[in-house]
Amino acid sequence: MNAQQLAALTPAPLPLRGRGAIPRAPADAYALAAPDRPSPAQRERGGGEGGFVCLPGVWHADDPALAATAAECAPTGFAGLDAELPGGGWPHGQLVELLYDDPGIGELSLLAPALAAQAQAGRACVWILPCESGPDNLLQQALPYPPALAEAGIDPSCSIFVRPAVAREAWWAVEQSLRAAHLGALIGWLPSSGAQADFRALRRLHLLAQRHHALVFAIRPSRCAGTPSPAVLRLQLACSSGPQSRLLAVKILKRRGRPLIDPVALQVHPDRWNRSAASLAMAAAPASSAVRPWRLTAALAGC
Amino acid sequence: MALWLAVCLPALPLQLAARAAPCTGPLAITEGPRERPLISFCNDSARAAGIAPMMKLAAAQALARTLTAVPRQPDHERDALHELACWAYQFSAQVAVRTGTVASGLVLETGGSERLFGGHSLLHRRIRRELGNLGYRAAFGHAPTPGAAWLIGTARAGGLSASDAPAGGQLQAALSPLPLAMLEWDADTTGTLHALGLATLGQLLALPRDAFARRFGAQRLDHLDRALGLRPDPQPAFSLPARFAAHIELPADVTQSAQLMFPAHRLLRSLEGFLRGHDAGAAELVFTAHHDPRAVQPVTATPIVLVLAAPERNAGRLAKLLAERLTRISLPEPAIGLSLTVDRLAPFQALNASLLPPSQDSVRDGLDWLQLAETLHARLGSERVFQLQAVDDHRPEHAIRIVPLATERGSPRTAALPCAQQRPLMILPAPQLLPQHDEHPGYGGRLALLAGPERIEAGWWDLGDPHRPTVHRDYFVARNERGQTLWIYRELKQPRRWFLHGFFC
Repeated sequence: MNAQQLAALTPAPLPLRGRGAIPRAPADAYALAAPDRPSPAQRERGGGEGGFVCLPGVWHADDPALAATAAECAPTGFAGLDAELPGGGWPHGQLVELLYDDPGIGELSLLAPALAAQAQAGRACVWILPCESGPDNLLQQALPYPPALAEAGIDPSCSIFVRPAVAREAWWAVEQSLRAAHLGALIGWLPSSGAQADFRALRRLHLLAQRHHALVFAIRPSRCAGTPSPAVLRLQLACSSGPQSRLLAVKILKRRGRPLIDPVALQVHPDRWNRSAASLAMAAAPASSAVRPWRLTAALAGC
Repeated sequence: MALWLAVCLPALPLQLAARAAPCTGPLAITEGPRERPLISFCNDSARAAGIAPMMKLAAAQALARTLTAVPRQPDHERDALHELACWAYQFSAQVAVRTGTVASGLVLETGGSERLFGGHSLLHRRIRRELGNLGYRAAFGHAPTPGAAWLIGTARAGGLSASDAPAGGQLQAALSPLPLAMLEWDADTTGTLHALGLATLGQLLALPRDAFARRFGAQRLDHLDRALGLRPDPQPAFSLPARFAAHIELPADVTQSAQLMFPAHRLLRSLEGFLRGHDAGAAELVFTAHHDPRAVQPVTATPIVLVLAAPERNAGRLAKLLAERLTRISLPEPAIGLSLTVDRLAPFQALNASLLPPSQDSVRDGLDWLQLAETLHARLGSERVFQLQAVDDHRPEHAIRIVPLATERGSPRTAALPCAQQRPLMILPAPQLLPQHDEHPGYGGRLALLAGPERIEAGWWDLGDPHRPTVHRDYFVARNERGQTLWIYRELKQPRRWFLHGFFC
């Protein structure tokens, strides 16, 4: 059946109101979910040889227009990630969820360019640090390090840091911060207290986030990946173990538009660390006496 | 033209007792010797139970079992009137306190300021509404002289109908129907006048002037002349004090700190008026919950201090902050009174309200930002809400300073040394000892070193300070099998242990 025949068989297209509704799907609609579906660009060029036809009035789930959000987006600073995020960056006024377990895989470096842009625009940032009563992974003691923040372009003087004692305080602080207009960004390490309660609380935050223009990042443990969430964007972060280099693998669990199967690998740490990993053997470590002890003096003299 | 507004508060002791808590039950004010108190004022609910002024307290308690009886405290009334005068200073530059038997209150000169507030009816409405927020109800009198305004106001406070005299020509007509009792002359004079068949001011004013003066004294005639505007009537100048102090007695013991919100709101409204009069803001508010001195525990007062990042005077915003603060306060004893003092006034920069709705792209509004900071700070405390500053120090743990929010404003920012090496985004304030196997540090598996060593030997200038020891370390960037990139160091001294100091998040 070619496109003309199908078009002749199909009655006049229904006026569509609901976004993403696909009435009168073609018989091979399940092809939408197949991984080898043609990209929208292919479809426009060649036109539906994979059994996929363009009908007027029918919206396709992998149409980029569907994925385009009304919200304005801020570039992430990573071209590879921008290409996969609907709107080309972090959405303003939407809840974005980041799921990971191990601190130190480069999760904040992923956010740093966007935070720096907010700081340079003079907008404030609120950090809700991990709860003191949380699981013992040293993060309850860790503090953001101002010299490193300044190096990343984030002015620490326009950030407020909150260290909640218990989970309730963390949720309260996030909610209060989202009520403030003109907030630039919010990063919150949110404790988990059961899927049901989390969903309700996140939904509340999501609705609050939509009232303003801030970038809202909720950081949660990766065991929450399987539980439902109202966030428009959910990213699971892990470390990809390549043969030579270690990259940050960003798996997009949920986004507007078609799903993405393969994680996006990003280089967040300096490349020289990857290269030097093999060369700097452990044997070098005891030989620290080889390091000239006047190195610091030299550095000072150079200042 | 000078125009005066009299604000007459009928049954002031009753109003003072009722404003500290929403009171629906019977309430009475008692006076007289302690062993035989007499009822002097009672509210509608008590009146409905059959209680009347001049009744003995024991008799009244027999009529209404739930009667709340509060002894009259004249010094509290005086303080309250003074506080009210401070509050009223926002509406007029000339405020005077008047006390009388029928009513007590204030007279304000409003002719000079009513244009600012959009005409006298808008001004009166606003004063009435804000008095209501303070917990007072008042009768107003409006006339070209303070004496006439006060007469009209007290007549209305006494439940009589009287008409305002906004122009000088209507003064005589407005005052004529008022009864003689409004003049608050002594009982002998009033009795004599009544015996002469005189009942109203109009009849009194119709008498021949010199005969009246001969019989009743020149000062009586002078009183009438001042009210009619025939002689000048200078009012005692009220000077605004430099500090604010107000107190509310609670009619019932308060055990929950949240119950203090209602009287606190009244105090904040009063403070707002005071600050408007000064055109200033308050940066530090000290609430004090007073406890019964006869209680078992020797706790007499619980201070509740509200520190603001920027001077503020809006009662609504202050009340929100106080509500957050009160969630952290527990009263050791039931409170019987609440007072608010502001010792230092700060210049207040009011922000212009925008004509247009704020656009989404507008840069952060300083006030809004401070409000958020204060809300978080009020609830969680300064140890949980803070800012971080980079400090010029080579020792990583001393290159960070936790700055409380309240002191953040105006403190000079120190620039950090530009650092050639990469620093971790998260740091542990106290380095964590790492286990090691044959000189290899481990954390979540064996660590591979990516960069380093970077030697940091610094801090000799703090020699002898146990909190700021000298460091001798070789720093490395390490990564474990789970992909965590860590900042670790090895001590140069024996036993050359490994420590974890940060995460390259």
